[in-house]
Amino acid sequence: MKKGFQSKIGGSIWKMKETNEGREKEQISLIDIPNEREDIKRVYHKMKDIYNDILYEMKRVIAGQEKVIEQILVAIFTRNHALLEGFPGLGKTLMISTLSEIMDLDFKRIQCTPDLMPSDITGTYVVEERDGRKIFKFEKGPVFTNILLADEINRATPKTQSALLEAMQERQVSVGTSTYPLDKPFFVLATQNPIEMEGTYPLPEAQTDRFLLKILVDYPSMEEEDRIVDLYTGETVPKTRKIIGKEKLLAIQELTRKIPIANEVKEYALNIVTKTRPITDGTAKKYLDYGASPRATIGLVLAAKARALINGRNYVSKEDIREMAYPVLRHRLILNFESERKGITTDDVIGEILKEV
Amino acid sequence: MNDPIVSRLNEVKKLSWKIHAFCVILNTIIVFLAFAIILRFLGIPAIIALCPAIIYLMIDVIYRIHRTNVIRSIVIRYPSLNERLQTAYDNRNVRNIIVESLVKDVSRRMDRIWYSSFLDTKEVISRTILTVILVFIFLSINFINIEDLGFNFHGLIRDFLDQIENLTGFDIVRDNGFQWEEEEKFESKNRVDEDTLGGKSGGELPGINEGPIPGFGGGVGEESNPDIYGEASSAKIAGKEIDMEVHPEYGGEIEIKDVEEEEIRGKFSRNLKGKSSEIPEQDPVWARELIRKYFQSLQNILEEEE
Repeated sequence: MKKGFQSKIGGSIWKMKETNEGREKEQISLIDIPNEREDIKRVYHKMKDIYNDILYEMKRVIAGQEKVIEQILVAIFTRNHALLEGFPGLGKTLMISTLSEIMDLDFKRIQCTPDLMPSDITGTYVVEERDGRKIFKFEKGPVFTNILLADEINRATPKTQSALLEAMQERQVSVGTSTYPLDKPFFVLATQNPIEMEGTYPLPEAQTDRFLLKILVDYPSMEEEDRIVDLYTGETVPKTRKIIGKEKLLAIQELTRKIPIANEVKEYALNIVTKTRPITDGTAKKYLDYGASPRATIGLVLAAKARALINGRNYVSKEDIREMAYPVLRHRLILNFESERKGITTDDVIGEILKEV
Repeated sequence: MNDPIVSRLNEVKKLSWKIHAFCVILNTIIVFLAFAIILRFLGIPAIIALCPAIIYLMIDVIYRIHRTNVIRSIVIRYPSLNERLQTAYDNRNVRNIIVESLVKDVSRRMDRIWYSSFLDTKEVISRTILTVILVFIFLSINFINIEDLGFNFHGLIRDFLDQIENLTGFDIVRDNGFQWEEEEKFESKNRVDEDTLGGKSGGELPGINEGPIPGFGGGVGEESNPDIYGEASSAKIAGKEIDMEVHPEYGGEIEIKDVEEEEIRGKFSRNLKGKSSEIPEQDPVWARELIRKYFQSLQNILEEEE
């Protein structure tokens, strides 16, 4: 086993390594892959640090909610959208706006109301006078940004909600006969609260499926809330600094898809998703009307890859799949009447399925 | 392609097969010895124990071929390699910065693998000890005559079967074709007809009980057989064990090979001639005619030779 390993090793950089004693520098080698871009290499070797720095900056503004932050980053790193659900006042909007500041991304917010029109999101043609002539000019809507926060999305009418569909899926907007591509990167981070359902328009399944993750924002713990009070009742308002730019973010998105996955782990993800379909006897048939689509499988593997990258691993583990199964599947499973009557949640069903697989 | 991983796995695979081969051979020896000892107790040639040993060898080899997974065997011993190794192997044809770093990481970890970790020392030691014990037992029972030690294996089995019979009411001995000395005589009464030259208890050759009366172990088989000579069998003469062969081509000549002394070869002595009247009248009436015919034919053969 002690035979030489003919690796193609290039230069070296310093990488921060977390140990029990604290942070220490570890010299690592840059692997020379002829076709690999230099920025990809550098970002890869600094990935763990980038995540730790983002987390550190977020903690200056947000107390606790590490899991929620991790899941939002997973959605961003996989070029996908996320739906945040939680009671008002839990910091959902603050979390997303802080993240956009840290990533130096363009951020826009839409407060969804029943009278919001699709053109309020996508943009519209306005008459403009130029050189004494009146011409139509396309005035871009808030969707032309990097991070779009659709606050209380379930308060918008289905027509307005569907205007987001094309933007989310195709990353382009069609107005009249013209099509306008959206900026890169582009994410929709929508929020909804589970109370005050009167006058709301629950998102149709087709639309919820377009969100990679449904992230539940829970109440903070006593200690976390104590910190929140300290943060926001003092003299100074906490501020953040920029950690990564667009280029680095795009490189991270590329890296996420390069994370290798073992066949066994992939099969594990497939088994989980297949088990949510109520075709055979089991948990799914007992509790569900509809299961997850193949889009869920793709999402689950991608999310697991992003989680592995965030945690500084160069492979996907079953733990990643298990951890990401809840946010990926919870909005894709439709409970049957009996389950709803008994007060069973989709998270309970996912938990059961994970025990079975 | 991630050649370092594949070459390292091949290295482990070779080693693994060597260990498997060693274990299979050791197990086969144990099976052989165990069966040989049992067969020796039953008075069956020990060489027959090769059959179960070969069957075991084949089953074990097939089982190990199907069950052996090199990656799994490494992962069991080195859990830190668990998903890393599997991922690196499954993505051996992928080439990007992350896969390369994974390969490098796995290779570094595989450098710390010890050959000895694949050998289950506890298992090997216990089986080696077992082999030594079995060899010792096997050699002992070959040098020591069990009957001299007062160990009556047949008697033990018979007592055991009798007890089962008493408990269950099921005639195991008869139903299974298990025959004992007393019953053999009874059986031959029913089966041997006038034309039969030898039966289960009757035969031309002297048996364990030396004398003119054919005894247990001598003679031809249970079924009627015109060949009165049969194969070589062991017999005791005056408490001395001899090897004896009767060759049909020599006529009445027999070959007596003393176990310890030099080979004796010659014709039947005159005084070996027997008369039916000399036979004690303890046989049933139905057998007298058969015995008479038997000695008559023997007499004729000897006279023809002279």
